[in-house]
Amino acid sequence: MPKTIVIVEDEPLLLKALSMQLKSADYSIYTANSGESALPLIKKVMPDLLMLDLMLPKLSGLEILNILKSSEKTKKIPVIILSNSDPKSELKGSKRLDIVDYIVKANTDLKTIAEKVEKALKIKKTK
Amino acid sequence: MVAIKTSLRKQIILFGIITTFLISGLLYYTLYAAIREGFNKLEDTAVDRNVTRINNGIESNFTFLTAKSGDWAHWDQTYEFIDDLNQAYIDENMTDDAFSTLDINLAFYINKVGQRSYYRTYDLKTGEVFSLSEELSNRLLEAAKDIPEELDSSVHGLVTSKDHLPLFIVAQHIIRSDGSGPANGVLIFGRFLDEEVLVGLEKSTIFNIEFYQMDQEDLPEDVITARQNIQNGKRNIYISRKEKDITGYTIFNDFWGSPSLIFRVDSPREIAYQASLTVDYTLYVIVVAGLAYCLFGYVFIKKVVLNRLSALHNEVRDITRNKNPDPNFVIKGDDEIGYLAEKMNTMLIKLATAQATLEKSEKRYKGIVESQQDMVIRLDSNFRFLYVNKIYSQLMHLESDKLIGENFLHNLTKEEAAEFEKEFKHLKRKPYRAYIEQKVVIRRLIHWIGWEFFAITDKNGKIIEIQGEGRDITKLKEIDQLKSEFVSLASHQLRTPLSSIKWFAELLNGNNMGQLNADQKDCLKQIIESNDRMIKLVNDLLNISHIESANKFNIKKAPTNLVKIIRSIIKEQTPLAKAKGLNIIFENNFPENQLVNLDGEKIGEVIQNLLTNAIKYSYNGNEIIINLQKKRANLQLSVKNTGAGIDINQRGHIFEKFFRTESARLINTQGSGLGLYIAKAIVERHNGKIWFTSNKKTTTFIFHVPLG
Repeated sequence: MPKTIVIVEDEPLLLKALSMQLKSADYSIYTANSGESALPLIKKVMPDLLMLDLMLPKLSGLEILNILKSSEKTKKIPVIILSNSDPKSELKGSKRLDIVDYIVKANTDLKTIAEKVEKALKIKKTK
Repeated sequence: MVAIKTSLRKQIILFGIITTFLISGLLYYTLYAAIREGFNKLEDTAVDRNVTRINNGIESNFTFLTAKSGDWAHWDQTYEFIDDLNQAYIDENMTDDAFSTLDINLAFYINKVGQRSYYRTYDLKTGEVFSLSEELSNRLLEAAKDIPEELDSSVHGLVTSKDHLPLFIVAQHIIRSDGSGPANGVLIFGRFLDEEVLVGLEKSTIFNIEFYQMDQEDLPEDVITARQNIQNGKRNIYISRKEKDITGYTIFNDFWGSPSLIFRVDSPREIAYQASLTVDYTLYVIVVAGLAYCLFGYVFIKKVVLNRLSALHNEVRDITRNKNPDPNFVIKGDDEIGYLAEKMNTMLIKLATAQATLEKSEKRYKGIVESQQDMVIRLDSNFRFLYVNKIYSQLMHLESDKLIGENFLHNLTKEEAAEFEKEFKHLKRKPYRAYIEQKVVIRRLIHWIGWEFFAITDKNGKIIEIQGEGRDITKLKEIDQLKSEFVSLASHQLRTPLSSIKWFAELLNGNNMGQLNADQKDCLKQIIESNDRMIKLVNDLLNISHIESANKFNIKKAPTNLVKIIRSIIKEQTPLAKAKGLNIIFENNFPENQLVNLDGEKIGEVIQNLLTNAIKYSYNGNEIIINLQKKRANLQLSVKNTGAGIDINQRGHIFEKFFRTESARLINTQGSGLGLYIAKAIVERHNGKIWFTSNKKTTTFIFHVPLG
């Protein structure tokens, strides 16, 4: 059974490119382009990995993280942060979160992202 | 200031007087002792001489008596008279005139059986005839027995008795005129030691002579003392000194050798008096000369030293009373005082000038402090106000007079006070500075005050005073906000489309969309490279904006495997290097898996910058050597390449923002000139150092960061 990944990204082009890359690696990809639509999707799918953009209109990535972490059901979902600003400073004060990796989109090519995803899923497996 | 208790003047006068009297006293004593000793000897000699003269005088009396008695004793008529006691002899020879001529008081005739046969007395002064006491008569008979048997022999001596004056006697055998014997009795001539004899003796000594009988009952005290001293001593002389007189005593024995008379010669002590006069005059002269010397010395010292010192003193006193030094103040003279005064005055004038300058600058400074738009406060170590400038009291609506002594923290909210207290802890450590931003409401508008605090500490680092400068940074805050927004825009709005291009180009290039022909691939490569450059530029700009807003450019140190990072960077850059035929060599002298506490991402950025530069500026087909090693407490990394090197004139600007060397522009037109600037910022934020060495063949960039 293929691994399920939820990608939350408000920029449709980036979402499309990322999906295309990951689909070729035989994952089940679910996407959301806003925080509001992402939450019910995550709860429904319960993905093996969540890729989350931090800069989302209205409900931000950080808020989504906090909501997920407050629920017993969703708090163990590993997260890869997708960002185009300095993710570390944006995540200031959320140490408790189970973040597997940070990706600055402009600095990372798809191949590398695919490797990171693969790695993140392996870590989950061994847990 | 130390008050002058005893002035130099007084000390010198006192010293002069004391020394004069001490020296005079000493001289006086020495002189007196020496002179007196000498004069005493002279006196003694004089007294001795006088005593000798008395003896001589007495002896000459005897000689005289012996001569006269000899004429009478060795005379036939006397020889006959002693037998018959004829009246004719008496009438003819025993006359007053004969006694006067002979200058005797007594003629005493003793017959051959030792009995008194006749005697006659005569008082030379009164002309009276007197009778001899039985005692004296017997003593004379006694004396006559002592004459040796030789016919021409005689004896003489002094005979004392109770009722008469001491009597000089000469006794001789009565023999015939031709000197033949046998001896027919004894003739004694006598002369009393009366005033006339005494006057004769006095004439020889020129001094007053008195005598006393030894057994006399009413002897004066001094005579008794003299008698005792002579009898106990060796010399037959005793000298007693009084202030004005010197008295010599000598004892004269009687006929039988027993001490019988004591003579006293009084002489005025003229010599001693003269001596003491001399000493007194000398002393007088010494004291006067000494005082004169002192006076002269004092006048000299006063002129040369005291007056000038006093002038110096007055000048200094005036200064201490806050008067300005007199610029024309001069003490003449080429000596030490003149020099001292000149130097001191120069010093004082310099001091006054410095003080004036200081006052002026203080005024100016105060003016600046008062007139500037920044808040200035000074606090003591317990944060109590020492000073506030007008702006502070105006903006805070507080009266400056009432603030002094109040605690700075008491005017703040609890939260603010806590934050200030927390930040103030930095003041206790080097560099004794603290920066705090305070939000205040001024005229219903929110203002931000940026407080720079600086602690002034003593030698031990203990805070003496805290100076604070508060600047309205509201505008800066706004600009900072704008900048943050720009950064956000740049990062999100620029990077997002760049990410799209990057990813889609990658998808195309990965043949996901079908096989591309060579031309298409080449075009796509150009797109990817341009896009990457654009991304790099955006990254650099973001970095710069982070570096320049101090609060945001934070390095996050964490245990990092730097070797691994380096290897991944090399791997990433290898295709670029290979394109130029370059070989990247990694000389690792650091343990492969040792973790180092640093910001791996940022240091990685530095290494990447150095490596891409090395690749860009290397001649084709050479080596790039990356060396990693531990050097003392530092981790040191160097990147060496072979190329044209860095132009000497441009080496100083290498780490400046947007700077690119001319050769760099020629080789690579696309650099931003930000890489090394960012690298330097990152290394320095790690408390490290970055530098380079370069010649015409090779260039090596080196940086080190502290381990641990």
